Amino acid sequence: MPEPEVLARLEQAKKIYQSGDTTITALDSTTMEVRSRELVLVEGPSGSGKTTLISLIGCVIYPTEGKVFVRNVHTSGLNDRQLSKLRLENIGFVFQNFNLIAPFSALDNVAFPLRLMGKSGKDARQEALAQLEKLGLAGRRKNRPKELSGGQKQRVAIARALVTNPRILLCDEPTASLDHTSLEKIMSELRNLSREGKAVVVVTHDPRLEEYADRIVRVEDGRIVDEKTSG
Amino acid sequence: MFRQALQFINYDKPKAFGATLGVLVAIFLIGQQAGIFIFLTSLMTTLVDNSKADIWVVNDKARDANRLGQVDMRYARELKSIPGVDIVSPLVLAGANAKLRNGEQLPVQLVGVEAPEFLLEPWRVIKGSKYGLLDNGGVSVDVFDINSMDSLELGEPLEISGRRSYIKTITRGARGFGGSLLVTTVNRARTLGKVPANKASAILLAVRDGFPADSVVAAINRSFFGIRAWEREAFSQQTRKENLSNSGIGTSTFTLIIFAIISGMVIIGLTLYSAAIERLNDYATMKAIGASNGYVTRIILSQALLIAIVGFSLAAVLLVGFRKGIAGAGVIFEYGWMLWVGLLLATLLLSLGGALLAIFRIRKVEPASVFR
Repeated sequence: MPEPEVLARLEQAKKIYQSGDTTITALDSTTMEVRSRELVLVEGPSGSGKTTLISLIGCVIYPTEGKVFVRNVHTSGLNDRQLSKLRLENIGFVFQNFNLIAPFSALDNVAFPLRLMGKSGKDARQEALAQLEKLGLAGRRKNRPKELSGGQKQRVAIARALVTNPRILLCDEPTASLDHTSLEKIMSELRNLSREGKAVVVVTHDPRLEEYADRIVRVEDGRIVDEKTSG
Repeated sequence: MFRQALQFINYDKPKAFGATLGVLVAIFLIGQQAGIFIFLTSLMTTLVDNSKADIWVVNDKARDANRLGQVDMRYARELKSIPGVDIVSPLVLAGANAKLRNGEQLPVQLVGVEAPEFLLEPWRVIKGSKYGLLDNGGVSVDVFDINSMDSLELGEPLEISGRRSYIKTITRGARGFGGSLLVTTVNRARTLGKVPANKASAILLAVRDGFPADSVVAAINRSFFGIRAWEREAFSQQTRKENLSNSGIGTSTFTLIIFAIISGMVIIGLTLYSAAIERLNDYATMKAIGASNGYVTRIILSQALLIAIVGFSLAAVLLVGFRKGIAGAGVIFEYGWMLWVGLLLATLLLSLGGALLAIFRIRKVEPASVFR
């Protein structure tokens, strides 16, 4: 088995938000690596900097100081278009509130990243349907998000995140609104994905997820205060 | 892109309906005002535009075909000596009163034309012919004035300035700027309008083949004092310009059009903005997934474009109906292709302009907001 590949790296990354006269250091000089074939759990209390950490890895914000590399690309030097392309090709997102695009059907939600990649509508929908079939949702392809249950929405969100075959999967509280059965199903799926070679980063408050993690990173007051690898 | 835009529109039908209605109302108002404007400006220049004369010779102070003043008839004889002049034909315009059957008096403008040259003749004739004017007391009236003239028919008598005349020609839509036009012969117009025999309102000229009208105009203007020659198109333009600057019709129409565009843009802008605000999270998600600002901008522009197309199409149908409807009341005009292009451009301006607010807002949405 090949050595795990470093897919994302934070080097002394710092994020400061300015709100009027108030300066908030959301993340302070953090260094961290995200590697292939591992499921990393990011834990910490509210306001600790978990979301900022995942936002930096996900290239949806720029660091105020320090560097962020995704697949060895230094993100600070990229413009909006280049950064969007980097996200599209390398990172899949699963959001706490699913964030399915309300006007689109389940199929169109999953097809959307493929359309962004330049695939034709027909090809994108065919691939999206195959992805939905894998997750047992082909029968709900025409339904809009509001017509789906919480578990179904989450599976559509996962299908959308995976349809471009990204190397990094970032999940923000993916099980927050799911029952125990759905939680087990989703986490097993995420662990399988990491075994297949993806880096899966899960931000959570839920200690039940620890059993699925390869590595647990604890964030408090904008710093990584603990990092442990599970047996 | 259009499929996605359509899905957004379809998802929020009330707002899409509101924006489409905004386009429809604004474009209909612009088209309606433009139609009335076209009609009024065509009335201003109707005498010049419908004449066959190459050159109009008028009093040197006249700048408007509806207010010509008088020229002495001896100029008519002298103009014949100008090289290139083929036909010289006087035109007499005079105010008169037509007495209706019910005793009501109707002010009319007599247009005296000379036969058989007919450098100006009744246009849009639907009954009778121009030669009917040569009959004793022959005049032409317009069908839209007939109703106000007590439903007179072809061949029926009409009292003008106390003298009996007869309707020998009926037109449809040959109307004047100042009121009803009654076309008759030069001599009858002089008699009924009390214009001296040695005076005319204008002298119309036809130029011989091979002679450029502008050189004849230049020769006349060099040779005569007290009169001025105009090429027909130049005099038409001058008449339009004179009336527009004096009447305020142009300013009024232009102001209404500007306000229609502004109000349409505001309605569409606020509707699209409000729709965008409600879907901020969707746009943020799109951006987080990998859509660039350019991509989401194009989605919003596509929505605006779709709304513009539907709004414009509905407005066009209404405008065609409006044009046909008021044509029945004698307000006859055509929407030329240039006006349609102008309306389409106005639609795009107000739709795409209205989308700017929403675009600015969406471009500011941070993809990171999806994590909050």
